[in-house]
Amino acid sequence: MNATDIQAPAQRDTDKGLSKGSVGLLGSVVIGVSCIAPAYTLSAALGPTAAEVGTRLPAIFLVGFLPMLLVAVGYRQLNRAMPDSGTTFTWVSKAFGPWLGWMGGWGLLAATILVLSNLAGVAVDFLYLALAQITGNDAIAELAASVPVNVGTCLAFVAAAAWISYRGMETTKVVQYVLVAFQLLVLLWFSAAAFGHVAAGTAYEGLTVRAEWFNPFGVESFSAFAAGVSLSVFIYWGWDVVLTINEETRGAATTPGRSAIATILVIVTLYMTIALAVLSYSGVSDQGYGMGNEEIQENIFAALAGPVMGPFAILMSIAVLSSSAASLQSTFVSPARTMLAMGYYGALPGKYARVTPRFQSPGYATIAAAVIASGFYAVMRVVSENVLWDTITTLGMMVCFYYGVTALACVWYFRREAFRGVGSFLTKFLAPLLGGILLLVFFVQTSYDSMDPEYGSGSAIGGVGLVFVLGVGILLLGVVMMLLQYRRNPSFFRERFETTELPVLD
Amino acid sequence: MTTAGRRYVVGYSGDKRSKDALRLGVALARASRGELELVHVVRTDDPFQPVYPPVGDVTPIIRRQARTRLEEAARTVPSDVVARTHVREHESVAAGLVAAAEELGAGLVVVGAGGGAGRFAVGPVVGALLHSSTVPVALAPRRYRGDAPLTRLYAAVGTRPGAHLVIDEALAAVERSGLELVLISFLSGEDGEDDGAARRAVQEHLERAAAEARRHQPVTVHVAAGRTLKQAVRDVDWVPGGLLLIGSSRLARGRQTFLGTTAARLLKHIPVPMVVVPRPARTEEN
Repeated sequence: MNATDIQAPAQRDTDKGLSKGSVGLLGSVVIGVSCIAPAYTLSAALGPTAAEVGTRLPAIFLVGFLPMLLVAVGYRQLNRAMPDSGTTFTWVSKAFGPWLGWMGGWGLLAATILVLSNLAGVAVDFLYLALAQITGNDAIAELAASVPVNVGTCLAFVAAAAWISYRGMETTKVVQYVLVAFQLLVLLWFSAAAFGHVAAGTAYEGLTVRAEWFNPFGVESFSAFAAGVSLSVFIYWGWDVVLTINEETRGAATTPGRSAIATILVIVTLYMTIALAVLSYSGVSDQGYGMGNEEIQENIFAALAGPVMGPFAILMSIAVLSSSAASLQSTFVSPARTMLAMGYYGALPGKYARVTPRFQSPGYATIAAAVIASGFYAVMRVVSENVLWDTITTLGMMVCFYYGVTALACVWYFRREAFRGVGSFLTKFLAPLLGGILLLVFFVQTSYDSMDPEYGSGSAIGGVGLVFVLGVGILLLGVVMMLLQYRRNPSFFRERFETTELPVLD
Repeated sequence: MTTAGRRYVVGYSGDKRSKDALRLGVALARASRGELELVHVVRTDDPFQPVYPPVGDVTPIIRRQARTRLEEAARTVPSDVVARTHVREHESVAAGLVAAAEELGAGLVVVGAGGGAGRFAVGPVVGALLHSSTVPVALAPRRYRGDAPLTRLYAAVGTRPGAHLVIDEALAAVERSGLELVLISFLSGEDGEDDGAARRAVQEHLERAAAEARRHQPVTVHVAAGRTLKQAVRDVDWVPGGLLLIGSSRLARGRQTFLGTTAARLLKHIPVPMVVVPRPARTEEN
């Protein structure tokens, strides 16, 4: 609803905060799909995932969804019981105490900052690619490889997104529908064109779809399996928003369950179609357009759109560019709000809780997120050969960590209510327990494997894999920050803070 | 329109413009023995504004801050003015203010319009409000001090149909408050430079309007002329306690924006607060 709409009925005291219109099934699916930004996530994660699991890519996309679904069930229960702005931070604090809660919040913050810098990096690549395609001058696309140009453009993107977010500007419903429809259209077009090439014998590799691609047990090692699942956790990250949308909306046209299932079907079908299309077209060889080629892996659509879609490749550039630019803006809200909540409860210095009066946005936290994300990207771009790849892998690990901890918090928080019935048992105990354990197992396995300097893109610092240095380094930094905050404001860690805890129904 | 206890909604968010608005609200309330309703509209999340990855709703925190800011603001209101505070939630601040004004039966919404370069700058909230408000909107210029009590009401009278709506509103306001009333027509460009036919026509039109108004209140008239609008504005004897009443452009026909070209340009130059009167629900000009 736009700002000038005056048709909305006058608000009464009795319906405070429920001015949202009801979101129907289609609306929920659009929101869910826009939250996972398929064009961006696939471009960034297809290559690294294929590098780990090869032709078992479709299997991993199917299996990787499971822990995410299990955790999301618990997430929804916590959101109903404690509808708090701090989410993971608040819930884990309530279940396991402030120290673990702080680390959970840190994991969420780290993941959102990582995705911010990665999104901006992908947007930069596609910006120059799109410019090259428009002008017909291939040299422009090479600009993205120049470190100063790349970092400068990336900082400009982050600054622009931060400014929009600081001013509290929002994209409208119409924009969301258009963005999502455009992304889906282009991705399906890409898949159809890729299959067309395979059928006509003009594909790079031209493999036929085989049943074994869907067999997750065919993955060569548990390490590869864990790494693949961590990455697919990243590509599905965000869809669970559909579980909470309709709960906040009175008079919702549809139940959360129905819209969640519809969103899942759309997303899994889409990912499966594209995974199969890319796999059939490219194969997994480490040459040319093969998905095993390290040169093209970290941003696969940038390499494949041209040969697959021909002159229409520009559409793919625009789809990924618009998808990552839109996500960049919506991603700013996430760390800023988490910092706002942590600052509010005294887990971060009070200035993070400052809300800009004019724009009603967490101003200080937004700027802090922009500064950290930009600094992180600039350093990484210099240190790492494949910055996008390494941040995506670290990101997968970080999501596994904080989702895993959140899921276990759900199990512990509801330990008394969970055995009251079959439904409670499944949603408050079994699903989050399984999901949490799975994600934490993948987190530990991936952390362990990433010590190998050859892991992921093969970047290393001091003989240790860069992904390990990043992932474990970020968590250790969190411990240091937590101790600093303990010295500054021990009361948060000593007293239990208050949040709304609703009685558990059903 | 009620005479006693007239209510003014002041859009308040705690920033500098809000403080300008509050000072204007106090001046208006004192002039007409009105009461202030300080309204802080907290924007609710649009479900179509996805947050990636999903995090919680921060509106409870923002709502608490809003309450604190309103309490602070209410403490700065002089004791002779009644002020109440309200936190409202709405998707848009402008629509929230309009809804609050309707609900509270307020006759006016006061907002701070100073920002950017000029004394008045129509930002998104004020812009939306000017397009949607069903009650008059008072715009406080940047750094409005409100030191001088309101003494004089200037009503900008155009030559197009609908001018009488502004005059009616002005007469009602003057009746409530006892302010002096001055009807002004602005004349700029070549017509403003000489004493030609154009000027005489405007003068006559203004006199006719004034004659009608004088049946109710004493009225003076003035044709503000100049080569440019800026110079025409300088041709007016603006007093420190002045207030300009102006009609929305929808009084005139064929324009989509609320402020007419002249009114929008006037915004940049006039030194006093301004009240924009909306078109009534019935379209009288046709």
